[in-house]
Amino acid sequence: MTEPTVLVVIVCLYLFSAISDYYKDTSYNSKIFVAGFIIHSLLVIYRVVKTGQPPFIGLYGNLLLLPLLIVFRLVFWQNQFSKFIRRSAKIFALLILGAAILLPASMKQPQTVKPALKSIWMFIHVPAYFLGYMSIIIALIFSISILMEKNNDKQVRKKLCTEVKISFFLLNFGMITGAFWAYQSWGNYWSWDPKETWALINILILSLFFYEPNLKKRAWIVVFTFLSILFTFLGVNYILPGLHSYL
Amino acid sequence: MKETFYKYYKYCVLTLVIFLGLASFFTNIPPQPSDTLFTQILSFFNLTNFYNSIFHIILWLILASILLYGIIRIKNFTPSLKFLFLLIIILIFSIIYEKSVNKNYTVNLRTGEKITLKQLNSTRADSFNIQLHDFQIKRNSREKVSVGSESKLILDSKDTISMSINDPIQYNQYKFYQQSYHLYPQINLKINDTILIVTAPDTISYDNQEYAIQPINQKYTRFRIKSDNNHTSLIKNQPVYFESNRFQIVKGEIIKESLIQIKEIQGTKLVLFLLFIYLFSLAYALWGKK
Repeated sequence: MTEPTVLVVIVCLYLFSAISDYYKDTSYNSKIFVAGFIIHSLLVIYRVVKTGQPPFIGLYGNLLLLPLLIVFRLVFWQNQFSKFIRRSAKIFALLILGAAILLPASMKQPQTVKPALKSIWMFIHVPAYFLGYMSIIIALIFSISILMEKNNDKQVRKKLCTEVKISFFLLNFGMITGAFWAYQSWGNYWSWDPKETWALINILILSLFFYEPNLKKRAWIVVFTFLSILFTFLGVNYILPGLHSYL
Repeated sequence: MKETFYKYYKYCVLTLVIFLGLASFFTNIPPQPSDTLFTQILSFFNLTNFYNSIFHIILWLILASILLYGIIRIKNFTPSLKFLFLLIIILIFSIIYEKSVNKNYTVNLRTGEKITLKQLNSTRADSFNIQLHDFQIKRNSREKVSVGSESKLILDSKDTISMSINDPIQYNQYKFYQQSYHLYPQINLKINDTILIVTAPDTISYDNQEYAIQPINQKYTRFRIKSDNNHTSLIKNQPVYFESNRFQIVKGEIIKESLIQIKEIQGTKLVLFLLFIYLFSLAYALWGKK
């Protein structure tokens, strides 16, 4: 079975689970979802073994890893999330995997790791950002549920706050470990490179969340942070090339 | 009080976000030929050089003063949050200091070449020599792709030290980083009976006529020779008649040039230490006992 076929199988399993969720919530659905998660994990591990590179190298690798992290949260912390949050998270994971499938074949090929990336910091700085992105996606889904007035109780408010705290810390952690790495590799802990600047912008926007008393405004802050992160993750690489143009 | 703090904090952060975001688009744009409204706005806010502008520093200082206001005036902020704010204020000042005193130099050295620090910065008293003793490019055996490079430097005519990407060296108040490298083809170009040594791309002068020599392929086996009105291609050892002269590349080799960044590091370790402490204080402020 080829890699694209396996990817399509994973998408089908997640899609089936997401659609079934709308009709009935049975343990059968979750078993299919877990099966998708296991195959997805095996695919990522297979790529790591085959290429000899960490899973977060290249855009294709990123688009496989990020949904895996979201699904990981849903599988292991299932009771933490309501039905709406679980469904929406599955749709998010599906959208990202869909983007991975649609990438041109040349972008799916393993890339040579640039010399500057061969450092222990890569295994600290990049995963921190990925975990931060995962948390902000979960926070975004909570925010959408608040804005759609699906659920505004105290529990949702608390969970949104927890996700934002995790994301805020990890974005800071990623930025500071990046500064240490840049100091070691480039001689400058901060160069006002577009990616660095936008990483700081993300943190500045998200910091507004902690002082905002209004729940809906808090939800909007998370939405804007997500859009800003999306631009940092994809837009900066293609529109504003700089030291971080690795995707 | 808390509302006032938040209001000012919000306005300051949004201003910073807008200017930082805009500057990320306009920092590297070339100078515009005409004096349009667009160029006037760019120059008024100094957006092409925003990161080094006074306006940028002022915005960060305003943010620091808002945080100071929070520490002094708001009673229900936890001690851990106040400590975090204090740390951010100290960080802002240390980074402004560090960025304003330290200078960065990028030097291109070929094997055997030597420079003195005085050539880079005449105000420095502690001048010393930097000589590139050897330079090696490491290649992946399978794909022949460059996977790194290593420079051996002789500092102050006595110590030989090696450095490579991700493995810098420190000397006095300076840190040396292997940034990258350049490859240049050096050819012996025979024009009629005269032999000229050319490092392409370059311009040569022969018989009151200027010729530009440019490499065409990445293996540096083919070159383009251009005059004002004409051009032709040149392959090693194959003579070509161009504008009534006979051109021939009789010898060619690739010259390696190491790109080294030299950075002054006064106060840099303090900033990194503060960033490290900031992470712990942030974690405590987010999840510690209230």
